[in-house]
Amino acid sequence: MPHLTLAANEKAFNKLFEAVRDNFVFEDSGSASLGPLTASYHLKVRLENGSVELRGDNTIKIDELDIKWDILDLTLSFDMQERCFGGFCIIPIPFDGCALEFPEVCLFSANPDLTVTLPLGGITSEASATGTLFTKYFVNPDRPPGMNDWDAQDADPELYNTWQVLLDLESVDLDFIDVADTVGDLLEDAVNALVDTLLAGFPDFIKDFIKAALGGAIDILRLILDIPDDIEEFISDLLNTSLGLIDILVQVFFQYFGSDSPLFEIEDPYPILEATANPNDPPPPQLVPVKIPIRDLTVFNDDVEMVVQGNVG
Amino acid sequence: MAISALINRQVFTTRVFDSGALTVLASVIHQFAEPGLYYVTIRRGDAVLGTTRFEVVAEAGPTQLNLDLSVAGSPAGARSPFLRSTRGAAAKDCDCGGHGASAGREVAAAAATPTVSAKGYVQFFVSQGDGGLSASVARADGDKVLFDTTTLGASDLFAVSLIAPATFSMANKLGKATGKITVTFSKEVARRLKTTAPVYVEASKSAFAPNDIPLSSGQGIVFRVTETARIVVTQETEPAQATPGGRPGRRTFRRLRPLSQRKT
Repeated sequence: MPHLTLAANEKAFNKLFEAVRDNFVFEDSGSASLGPLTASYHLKVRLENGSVELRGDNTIKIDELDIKWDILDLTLSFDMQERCFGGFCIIPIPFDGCALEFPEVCLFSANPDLTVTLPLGGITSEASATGTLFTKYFVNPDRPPGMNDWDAQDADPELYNTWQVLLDLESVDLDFIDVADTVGDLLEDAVNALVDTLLAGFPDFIKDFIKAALGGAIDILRLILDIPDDIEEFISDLLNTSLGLIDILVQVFFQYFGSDSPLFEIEDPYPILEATANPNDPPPPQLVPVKIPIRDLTVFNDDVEMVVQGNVG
Repeated sequence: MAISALINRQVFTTRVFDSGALTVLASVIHQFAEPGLYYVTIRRGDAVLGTTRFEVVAEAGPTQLNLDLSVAGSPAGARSPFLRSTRGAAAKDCDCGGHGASAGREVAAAAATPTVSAKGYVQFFVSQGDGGLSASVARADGDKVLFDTTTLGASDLFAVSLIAPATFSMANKLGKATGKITVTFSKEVARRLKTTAPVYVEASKSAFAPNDIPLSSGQGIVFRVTETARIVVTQETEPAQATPGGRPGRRTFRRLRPLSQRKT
């Protein structure tokens, strides 16, 4: 029979979960190259809502967990094709090419040329997950070798080791990021604004030439994005598949719940008596604080409560 | 939202193309028949902006050497960002620069001093900036100026690519020759600028032949100098505005009458 038994009903367990959930913040950035297009992202997500159900088969089910995308900036960079003038043959060699060419001088330099950032933040995705509780003994890596348990307890910050109760997620279902249906307009407006800026101040005849050059970027947009019909689908696919944000987030969840953020932890050895004045005579004047080591900590749950059990010694 | 492209505005804003004060889309071509090392002094007006050098070799060598006067004084190997193939990592051509020079065509390996065959041509041009640059060339072992772009001589060439669809005047400032160039925009030519043959003009002191030239926007015009010349091509009119694709379709609006007032 275990020496220690702790239990938390579903309501109490939800409170534990909420604390972990509310501490979750994930910020990341990255990019992917897709031929003439480079897509990059900057995201910041947190979690809200969600319910936790203790199930009779020793598993936990999390439902309707909201992923709040506070920041989801998608930056699309296009390499505009060069538009050059000159290059004609000044001194042709009959039937044998050209002895002298006029230099080709180009209109644009730099790569990429055209960058559009779409602020897609403010959306919410939903996740559900199932998992199993498990315990892990955590050895504080910052604790110097040879430091005793009392000094570890008194250190600031504390450097004691702990028993942790974590959630081993077995499956995570995450909705695809569902961008707003106005994203097509957003992108088109952005590109139009860029083109207007680019052409500002040029007479019309110049625009004729530059439009030919911009044809590259616009064509790329139209070709890849199939504007306007499939733009939502394209952006969603870009975020979910090409940039792999869903996979990234799932991995982060596994790491967060399964390793970084215990639902519950117990200091080891566990303090049961603080230092107290010695009522006896003769000295010492104080009795030392008492801590008891905990071993064999296990956790399980049924559909009513989570139970943590362990032994002392 | 951002545009990171640099725009070579001078391609469209240059209005005067002067063989003695080179700007974007204008070049002077000269042959140096004597092998040896040559020094080039680059000026804007009387001010010296920099120097560069090249070597003429008797044996087979590159047949064309382009000297970009606008990068004079830049570190060896520097190239204008507005030359084709200088963008990105994958340069298509050899960067044979050195002291602002880049050799095209049959190019040699990158070297500190670019070379050109004695049977080849040296082309002085400007790839960016306001221009107004001239170049004078002397042998390394002498001070005598052998060639100066401000004074072209027989067998020199002056090549220009005119973009603006406008009327230009042309004049030999060292003579009396004048003429007119009328540039019109053609989508067909704009799509194949490289393969469109330039128009050739004989330039003497007294006349251009022909002296009234129709040209497509972007098409080249090459002056073959037969006598001393400084050729200046000047935009005289504003570019024609783009014409709309056609008259907009007419729409007729009718006021609706109540059904009871309509004739049946």
